[in-house]
Amino acid sequence: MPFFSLKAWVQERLPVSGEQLRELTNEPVPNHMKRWWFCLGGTPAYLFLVQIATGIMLAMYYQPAPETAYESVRYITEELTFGWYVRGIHKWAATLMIAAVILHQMRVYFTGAYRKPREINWMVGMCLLIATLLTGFTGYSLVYEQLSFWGATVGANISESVPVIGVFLKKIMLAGDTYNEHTLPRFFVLHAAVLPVILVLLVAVHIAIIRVQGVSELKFEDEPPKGPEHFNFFPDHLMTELALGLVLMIILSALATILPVEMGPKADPLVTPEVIKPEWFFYVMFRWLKLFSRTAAILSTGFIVFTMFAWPFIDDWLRRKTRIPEISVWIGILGVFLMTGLTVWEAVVAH
Amino acid sequence: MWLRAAKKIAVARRGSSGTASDFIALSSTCPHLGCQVHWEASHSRFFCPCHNGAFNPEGKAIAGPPAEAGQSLSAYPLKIEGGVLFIEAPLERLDNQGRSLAPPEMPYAGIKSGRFLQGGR
Repeated sequence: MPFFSLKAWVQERLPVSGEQLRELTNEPVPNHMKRWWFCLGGTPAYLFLVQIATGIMLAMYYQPAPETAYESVRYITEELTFGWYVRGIHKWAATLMIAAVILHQMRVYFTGAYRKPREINWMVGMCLLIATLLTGFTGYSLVYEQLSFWGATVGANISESVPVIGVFLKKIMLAGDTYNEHTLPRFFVLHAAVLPVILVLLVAVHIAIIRVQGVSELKFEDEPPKGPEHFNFFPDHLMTELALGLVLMIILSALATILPVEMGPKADPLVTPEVIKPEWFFYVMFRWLKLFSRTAAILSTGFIVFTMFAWPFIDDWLRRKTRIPEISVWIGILGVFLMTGLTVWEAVVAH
Repeated sequence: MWLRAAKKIAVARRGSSGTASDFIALSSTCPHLGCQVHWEASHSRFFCPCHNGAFNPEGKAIAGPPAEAGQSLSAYPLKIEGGVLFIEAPLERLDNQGRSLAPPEMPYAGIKSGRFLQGGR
């Protein structure tokens, strides 16, 4: 069958023309997005695709049971052909994905891009942040290292402190009152199925809302006043994203090779190691838990997360009340200093 | 083998009156967020490496988040029978005062701690 008739055959059944497809993808992109730091929203999306691809490969060899999990990860890391590379990419892409999500959120925050009419998308973004952190947490719980076991134990006990639903939450998380043989399969299903599906759905809503509202536009002083104000998504912006993806792949490969992922000591439910820390993105929470009693630390964290969720409305109220237009910037700077300070503090001391 | 709900208990001898009160048996599970404490001889304290909780030899919290919340290490009831020390180690959780949190019909699950603790008579 010649090609042109195949095309006619498909088009007869799916009446979508190339012209219509081009129109669908050709969202006009404002000029400020030629600057790379405005592409930080696309970065976690790209890294998420990397995680899906490498995660599928790892899931083919990983065995989620306390007796086999550690050994299967060791096999992937030390014996499987290119296993060290795939696991290295997965681990480093997770680190970069969380970093990119945080940087993207900071960019949105400091440019006030969450303000009316974009409050809903800010809240969808907050859900994405939490889902990303949970995916990271359930991910390092799977290796069944000491950190995996004690991280899961501490995490479950934190959830137990949540008022009203805490005990139920802990039971659901651990598949029982304490860590048991059904815990790891549960973490695996959350990490490899439930949370990725939630992330895909949230990303779809996040992007759909961006397409409906358009990207918030920013003007820079060095822009010509009478030039074109937009450029095409396809292929111009997609090329930027692809170039960024290539650079990220080089960075990921370099990191996976130069700083290869290693096996920590195997989980021992009877011994908590002398020095134990979660992954870097939970350093803030870990230090916070050392500073206050359990109830105070957890209630204040809940309050901070709620404040972040409701920030577009709180910001609006604060600006009207104080008449300081940049109040969110000052509060943001304070917050970033506090979080960086707590992270560095946790990183440099043993206890 | 998977050690379901395995528990580590620190047992110390404090006197020589020949009764169970000579001994103390403390849970190694930190009441803060469930990590395992260990004995630090140089500071005479139990220390939890997770969030810096510290407990005196009696199990009372002296520093860190457990001290702020007034949480102590659970103490297990002890008894001496025929020169052997028994630790009453229920299969369910204890509260801060060593009281069982499970219904009273839960079977007594005492374990023989070993003859090396025999003595005092």
